[in-house]
Amino acid sequence: MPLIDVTTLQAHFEKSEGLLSRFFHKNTEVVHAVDCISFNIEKGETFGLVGESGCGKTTAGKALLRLLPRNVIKGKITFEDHDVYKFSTSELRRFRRHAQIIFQNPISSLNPRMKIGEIITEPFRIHGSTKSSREIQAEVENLLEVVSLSKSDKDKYPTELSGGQGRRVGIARALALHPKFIVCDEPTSGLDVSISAEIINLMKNLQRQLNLTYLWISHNLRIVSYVSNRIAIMYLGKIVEMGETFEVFKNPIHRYTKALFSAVHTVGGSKGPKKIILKGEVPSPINVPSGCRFRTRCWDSEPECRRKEPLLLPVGREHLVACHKAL
Amino acid sequence: MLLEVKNLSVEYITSEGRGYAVENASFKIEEGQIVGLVGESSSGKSTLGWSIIRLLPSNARIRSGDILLKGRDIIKMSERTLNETIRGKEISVIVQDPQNALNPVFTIHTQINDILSLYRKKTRKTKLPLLELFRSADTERKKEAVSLLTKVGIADARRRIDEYPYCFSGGMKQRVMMVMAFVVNPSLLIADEPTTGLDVTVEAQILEHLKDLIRQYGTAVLYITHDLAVISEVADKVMVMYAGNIVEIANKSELFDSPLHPYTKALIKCLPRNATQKDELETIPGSVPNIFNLPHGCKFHPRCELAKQICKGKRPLLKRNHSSSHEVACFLV
Repeated sequence: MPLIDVTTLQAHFEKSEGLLSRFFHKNTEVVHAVDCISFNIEKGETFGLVGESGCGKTTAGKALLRLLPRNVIKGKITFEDHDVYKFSTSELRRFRRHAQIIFQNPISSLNPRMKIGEIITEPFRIHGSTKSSREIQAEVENLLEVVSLSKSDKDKYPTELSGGQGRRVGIARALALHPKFIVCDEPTSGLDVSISAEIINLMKNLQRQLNLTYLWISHNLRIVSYVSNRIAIMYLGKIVEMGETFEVFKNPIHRYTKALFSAVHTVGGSKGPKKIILKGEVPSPINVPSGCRFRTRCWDSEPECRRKEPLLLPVGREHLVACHKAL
Repeated sequence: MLLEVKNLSVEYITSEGRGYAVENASFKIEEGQIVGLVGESSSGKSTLGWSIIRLLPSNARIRSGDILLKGRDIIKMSERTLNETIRGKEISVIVQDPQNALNPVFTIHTQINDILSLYRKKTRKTKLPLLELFRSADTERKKEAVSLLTKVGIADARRRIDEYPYCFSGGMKQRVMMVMAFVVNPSLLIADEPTTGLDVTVEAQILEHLKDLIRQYGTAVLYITHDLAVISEVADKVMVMYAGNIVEIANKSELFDSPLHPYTKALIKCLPRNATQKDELETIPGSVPNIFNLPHGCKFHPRCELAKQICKGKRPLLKRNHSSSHEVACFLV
């Protein structure tokens, strides 16, 4: 039984209209952020969710943790076989202990008016920990050590920290209650290469020690390929390719995946394989193209791509692609 | 020699103290050469870039050194000369967040037109075919702007040129910036992290267009970034900076195939190469020093696994190693 099971998840946001246009019943525009995606995450694995801005990956991550209003979501998300959107208040509270998030922005996701020590203590307070103040403080100090911050950082404010330090506080906060699952939203973006490497090593070690499961959301293909066991590529709200990372990396089939992988520069003096340069821009999620959403930028598109939406189908062991020309 | 920088040092004065963000920087850029300047946060790379056109914050001071553009000393120039002949004329700039560089209350057309009309005035283009003389200068300039925007991949440019910056995506704004930077035909373009924060596929498009424009105009470029991978894509020559010092200069292939400075080697090793690599990533122990509290001797020695006694006493200077184009600042090489 997978830890997380997502079935035909959909997240549509209505674009807010002015009072008058609502009165005159103008057609409300809908942002199709996530459109019928299905996948599961096994216990102990790192599942990479890759895509560029606006593909819906962050929305999908938040949906998994029920951080989106119910009226926006359709489909089913289960955690340990229980429907996340059917939790009662107390069940939801218990769920939150087990499923945490590390937010994208390292500094602004921390309360600027709280000291670091207070920020990491907060989860214990919210979840009514029965530990004494002293025990909690000892835990907080332990967490700081785990993420390689010093005890003196406890008394600093978030604005006094660097991006890398802020990220570590976010990680410490997410770990406080020993969760089972963590959504990591762009955990290394904006960080220097060497700091990035430290954070990645830290998270991998923690995963081994604490048997954590990660949903690793990122647009940085190189890093996601390195950390994840399985990977799903998203484009304009849809999963276009999914499978074991090594397999997808070695043998990308969807044209978008090919373009993405080719755009990731090879580091080195010698020239890598010729880069695929996509034409045009990503279409608006309000007006998604008919049929295959990628057809407007695909160099291989045919009339069928406009008429019929391709389904995500297996092309090999643990490798699925949504493309009429996959086979 | 297009640009020669000799022993440049820039100091910041703040309430926390004084510190050198750039120390004794020396390098050259030839005509049409693309030089990459790589470094992490607090390396001083942006400070170095902006000091070339003397657009530093008010609390920065150029304490020593020469900046010679085609033999003329930029440090000694008056603000007026800098504005009339250098900034936006001989030297153009494109920056990381084009959002903040474009004026939100003017259309793209107005902004490009401003530059074109200023530029034309400076060069006094007088040779025009008879027919064109009767067309208004405005129409001509608009035609030129539309054609340039189309060339950098903005679809439907004739209509879009009359839109405001908020209608453009990040990638498109960056393309507008590139057009504005190249249209004045500069000798040198300073690009400060122009593709950082853009999606990978957009970055790929922008870099292609940038390379085309560089080829077309023959402009030299100082490309500042923290991204080693982008540098290996774009640059001919690469300079690596650490805590205010240039620690290595080499041709791109030589830098990546045989890096000499321990910091450069460590930086290259920090990048995960691909999905097949399963072992732990290399990291650099310790952290970048605070410019108000720099170590004695070589600034990298506290984090260097090869550090010896000599490294703690004296600052190593950039010296040529074997080939004339490979320089490194390290006692142990």
